[in-house]
This record gives sequence, structure tokens and C-alpha cells, in this order.
Amino acid sequence: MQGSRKLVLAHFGAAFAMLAFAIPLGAWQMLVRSPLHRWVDPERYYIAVTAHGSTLAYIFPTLVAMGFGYAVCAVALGRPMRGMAMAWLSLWLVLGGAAMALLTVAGGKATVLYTFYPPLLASAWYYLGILCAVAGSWIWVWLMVWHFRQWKRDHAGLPVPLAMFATTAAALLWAWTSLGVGSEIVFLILPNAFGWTSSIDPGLARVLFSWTLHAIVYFWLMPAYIAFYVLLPQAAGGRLYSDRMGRIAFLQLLVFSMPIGLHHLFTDPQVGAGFKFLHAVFTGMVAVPTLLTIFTICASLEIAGRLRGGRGLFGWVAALPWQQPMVLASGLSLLMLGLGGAGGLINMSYAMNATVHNTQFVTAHFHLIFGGAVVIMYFAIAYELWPRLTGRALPSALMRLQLWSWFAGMLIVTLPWHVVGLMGQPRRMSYYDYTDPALAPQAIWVALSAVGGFVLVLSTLLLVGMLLASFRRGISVQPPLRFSLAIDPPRSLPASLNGFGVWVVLVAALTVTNYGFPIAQALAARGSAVAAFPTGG
Amino acid sequence: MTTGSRPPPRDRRFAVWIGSIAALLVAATAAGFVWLPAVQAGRDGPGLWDAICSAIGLPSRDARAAAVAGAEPPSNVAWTAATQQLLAGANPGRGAALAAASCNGCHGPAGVSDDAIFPNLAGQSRASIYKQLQDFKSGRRDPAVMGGYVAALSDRDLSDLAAHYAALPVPGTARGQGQAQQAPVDAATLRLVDHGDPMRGIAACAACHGPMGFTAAAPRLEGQQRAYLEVQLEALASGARHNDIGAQMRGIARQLTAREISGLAAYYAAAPAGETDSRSKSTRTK
Repeated sequence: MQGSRKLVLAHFGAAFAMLAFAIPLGAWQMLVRSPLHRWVDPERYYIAVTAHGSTLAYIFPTLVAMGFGYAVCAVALGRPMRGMAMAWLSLWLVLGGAAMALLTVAGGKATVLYTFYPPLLASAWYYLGILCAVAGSWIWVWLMVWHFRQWKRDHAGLPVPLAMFATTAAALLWAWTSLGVGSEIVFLILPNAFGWTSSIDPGLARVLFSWTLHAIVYFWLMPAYIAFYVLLPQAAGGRLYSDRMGRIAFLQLLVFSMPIGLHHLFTDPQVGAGFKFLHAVFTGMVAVPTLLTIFTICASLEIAGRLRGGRGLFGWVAALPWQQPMVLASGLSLLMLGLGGAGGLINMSYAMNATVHNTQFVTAHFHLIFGGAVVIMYFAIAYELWPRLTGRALPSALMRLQLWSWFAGMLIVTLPWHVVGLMGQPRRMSYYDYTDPALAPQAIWVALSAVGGFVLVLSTLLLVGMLLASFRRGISVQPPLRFSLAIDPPRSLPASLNGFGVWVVLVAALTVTNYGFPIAQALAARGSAVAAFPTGG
Repeated sequence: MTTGSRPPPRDRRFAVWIGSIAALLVAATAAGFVWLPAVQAGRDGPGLWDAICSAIGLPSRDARAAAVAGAEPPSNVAWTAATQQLLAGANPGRGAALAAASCNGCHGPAGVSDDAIFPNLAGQSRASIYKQLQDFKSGRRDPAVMGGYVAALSDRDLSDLAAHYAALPVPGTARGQGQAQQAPVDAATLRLVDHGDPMRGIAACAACHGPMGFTAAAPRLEGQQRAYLEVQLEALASGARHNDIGAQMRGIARQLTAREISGLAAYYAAAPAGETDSRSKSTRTK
């Protein structure tokens, strides 16, 4: 892997260590707020929720995206990565920031959940830790963009390989979207935490956080989509249906991911209804790259299936090599993406959202999409990379068992969770009195959901155990990592599909049109700031 | 292998895509800021310009100013520190002397009324009695009967009266106990008391009137006169009584059916006063 082997391995190792830490916390939360357990001290519950969310939202996916990005950079560009010291520094910043934030949480000084909506206020160390981790990831952004530009300069007129093109799109997306939460922390929260300001404007803080909150989901999603395009067709034994379609999808994700975040604030009073509608429309546009991807992937898989002898309308589906972890994970991921996407349409619809707003439906939705459809692809990516990074093969049957158990666990967790949300259970509560006749019908669903949490714990243990046990095996020769070839690989590409300059300007312009006024209005608002509410005694 | 040196032909995709996104932006803006507000403005709505301003997030200043100018506060009583100090320092003995002069005629010397249309006052919270007396005096609550009695009384007089009645032993333990144990309460009424009906915006009675929670000046209801409770809920529903701050009770009473009002009045009239949790399980029926 062009000398990046240790770097990528360190990222994936750290990422899965984080996962192994955070998943049991999630299962414990599901248990203690279910009727299967007595109530616990809410402070302990919120410590666990904050640790679970901060780890799995900020640290784990960032580490996977960074590690996979380095692997893509080395393999797709076919030359050793430069700036390795910077890359290691970036990893240490992310891990140091994570440690700083999580130790603050563990000390009970930051029970603010990973969204840390003001006026809730945690110890400054928590925010500094998150900021440190984000700053670390910016070094990765810079490295990706730098390598992209260098390669393009050295290969004038040639198409940048799709894998690197998509990774750079993800890096740019993250750079732009993390500015929202970054400015919220730097300009609003930290001055208050340090005692420099006496009050904080929750409306402005929420608008700034929404700038990050939805695009971050697409940043989490990017490695999964990249794997769909550049790893899956080859693992299935076929070719990518269209290289250009992939580029268009990634450009659309870059453009449409960010000017849509206000759909998280549909019931917030500080934003006008017109802007909420505007963001709802643009949120709808995000379905386009997703549908393009599903079309391209299905077409690529059909090519593979037919090459393998599949016949008839659906015979090619059965002919696919489902024993391949990448193929199996992609199939399971697409199923969860379909279910979760349908729920997402309800969340993003200005009117329908009101029926599920702030209920468990929302939590169930993002667990199904991120924890299910996306994270299962992280596993598949790890199964592709791990043997090449360590030189040690992984047991095929156990990999499939792990993927199936993750899929089953996630469905057992999230489907009843959606139902409970539709029954009106609010999210973010530490306990519910199921002896109350109004809540009693929810009890069975919550209990079921809690059982799924422990299936996910077992699946996580299986994953980590498998990766660790691989070191006891002998080193064997592993085929090098290769990315899928398109049926018709582009020999040259128009500027619009081979670079980001104009698109980044478009992203900035849409930020101004969709966010400019609400932010300016919140900045100009007088009398909307309140005293912060410190957590953790 | 490739023709890397030749510059690619002019790329029309930029224009097409940016044009499409700009068109989408214009269409969504037109729909979100003009068309939908126009539809929602309606015939009796806020008017088109105000609706557009509202969509942008700028409620029309003129409309708001007019609304504020025309609005009357529902009550002149505010729960400031001064009000609370006045109540805390009130003299029940002096209040008893004032009460003997006129109040006892209707509300009873022990604060328990003979006529179901007059409320029992014994054991009622100071804040609740004080607020109603002030509202009668200021006319925020219909002063037709009570206005004449309180017009000449000072703030101190009113607070002393409140302290006097609050100090009287709660009524009905002898009268109500037997009834309460026997009176069957239907599940729908109990549900309103304990849980309200969120789909109709009805908060649980017990959340403000106890025992789950007590908010400032929310009166104790257990052992109150049944007819009085019915009349007041109906008056709140019709808006004839409108001295509840933030229209809290009007909003709830409007949602209640006549049957529910009757059920709630019967429930609270029969509930034994004096116990914090008056709803013993034995009175519940399904």
C-alpha cells in the first residue's frame, strides 16, 4: 500500500477500538430505559449517551473516513503518500481530542449529548476535545486535497481516479460542513464556558449546528458510497457500470448535503417557515445522488451476475457471489438504506415531520441509516483492507456471521424503535414509566429493541475478536488492493467531472442563499440570549 | 495511451447544472416565500404581505404593534417578589376580622359555603384567593357580585383575607369522606386528571392543581363545590371568564365536552380534601 500500511492500520484499529467501547454503552442505555430494568440515575444515563454519541458521531466515522482515504490515496494514485508526519499528527490530534472529550464525559462534567445544544453547557474540556479532533481531521482534508491537486498537476488531462475523486469530495464536504459546529464552539460556547460572556443564544447556536448536522451524515456515508463504486463491482466479479455517473453522484452529494440542515429545525421558532421549506426542497434533492448510486450499483451487480452465468430477469441476483463479505454487506446495506430512506422522507417533509418530531422515530431512523447501512459497509471495507494491511486472512464464515448478526441486530433494534416513535415516545429521556397505562403498550416494543442491542454487542465482539485473532495466524500472500474498472473507463473528462473549483464556489453560494439570512437574523436578534445551564454539578 | 495534451472542449455542464440549481432555488423560493404564504394567508388570515414577512422570519411589526396595543392583560397580578412577600407577611387574624364583616355570609364562617354556587375557601392557597380577589377588584374577572365587596379593600386587606381562609381547616373531611369512597369515578375522568389528553392540548389537571405539581395560584380543587366548578369551567370555555394568565384554562376548558366538565366537577367535589393524594385506588373504576 505504498508505505501507508501502518497509517491505515492504525486508523482502522483505533476506529474499531472506539466502536467496541461505544456499542456496549448503547446496549446498556437501551436496557436501562426499557421495562427490563429498573430506572437508573439520569446523570449516569446521560454520561453514557454523551459518550456513545460523541464517540460514534465524531470519532469513529472520522477515523474510518481518514484511514480509508489514506488507503485510496495510496492505491488509486499509485504512488507513495507525502506528508506522512502530518498524517500521524492528525491521527494523534483526533485521538487526543477524543480522549479529552471522553474523559470529561466520564467525569460527569459533560452530560450534554453529542449535539450539546445550548443553553446546556458542559466543561470547556469537552468542547476543546471535540475541536481538537475536528482540527485533526482538517489536516486529513488538507492532505487529500493536496494529493488530488498534485496528481492532477502531474497528469494533466488525465481523469483523476474515481476513488480519489470521491475521497476528495468527502474531504471538501467535511471541511465546509465542520465550519458550522466549529464556529458554534469557538464563537458561542467556549466564550461562555470560559466566563467571558454571561449568556448564549440557543437559536443561533442551533442554526450553526444544523449547518454541520446533516452534512456530517453524508460525510459518514461517503466511505460506504465509495466502497459501492470502487470495491463492490470488483468483489462481485464484474465492472462498474458508469464511472461518470459516480462522479456526478459525488458532486451532487457535495453540493446538496449542506444547504439543507434547517430540516432539523422544523419546529424551531427562530427560523422563518420559508427557509424551512427551501431546505426541505433541497433535502429532497439529496435523493437524486442516492438513486443514481442505487441504479449504478444494481447495474454493476447485474453485469457481474450475468458474467457469472445468471440468466433471466432475476437469475443474476442468485448468481452473485454472496459469500464475498463486500457483496453480502452491500446487499444488506442497500436493504437498510431503503428502509431508512423511506423513514427519512417522513423526517424531511415539512408537514409530516411534525408527527414524529423529537420522538424515538428520529433516533431509530439515524441508527438504521448510519449504524446499519453505513457502518456495515465500514465492516466490509475493513474486511477488504485488513488482510492486505496485516498479511493475514480472515475467516470467511465468521465475517458473514458478523455481517448477518449486525444486520439482524440493527433491524431488531430499529424497527420496534420506529414503532415506539410513532406511538409518540419522546427521545432523549432517561426513563419511562411503563406502569402508566398511557405508556404500557410501548413496553413490549422497547423490550424487543433492547434485546437487539445485545445482538449488536455480540456482533461487535465477533468483529474485534476476529481482527485480533488474525494476528495469531501465519502471514500469507494477499492479492493487492485494486479498485473496480468501469465498463468504459474515461480517457479524458470534462473539467466539470474532474475537479472541484466551480463546485466549491457553488456550495458557498448555496450556503449564502440558504443560510445567510437565518444566520444574519439570529446574529441581529436582541433579547434572545439566555443564561447557560451548566451540567454535571 | 491518452491524449492528455489536448485541452478538453468547453464544458457546458457547468452552465447546465448551475442553471438548473439556480432555477430550483428560484422556484423553491417563490413557493416557500410567496405562493405558500399566499395560500396560508387566506381570507381571514394575516394578509399577504404579513404572511410573506412571516415566512422570511420577520413577523410584521405593524400587525404585532396593533395586536399588542389592543390586548388587555388577563390579570394585573404578577408573581413578583413583592407580591410573594406581601402574601408571606399577611395577618390571618386581621383577615378573620375583615371576613366576619361580609364574606362569611356567603362563603360560610368556616370557609365552607352552604350554596353550591359559592366556592369553598377554607384551606385554599393564599396565592389563589389573593389573585381572584385582585381580579375582581380590577374587573379582570366579572365583578358583578364580588366587585362591590372588594372595591374598598387594600392590597394588604386582600392578602390578610387570603391568609385567613388559607389557615382554616380544609372542609368536607366529615361530609365528603363517605361519599368519596363510594362515588364511582369513570376511567375517562381519571385519565383527564392524571394524564390529560395531549392530542387535544389538555394538560393533566393534577399537573398544576396537585398532587403531581402545584403552580402559583392554581387553586386546590378537591372538595370544591360541584356546581361552582361546572359554572367556572363553562365560563372559561365560553370566554366569559378570562382572567387566566396565558389563557391556560380557557384553552383547556374549550376542549372539554359538557360530559367531561360534569365528570370532572363531580370527581373533584367528591374527592376528599385534605389528603395530598386524594385519589385512593379504591375509588377508581374501569
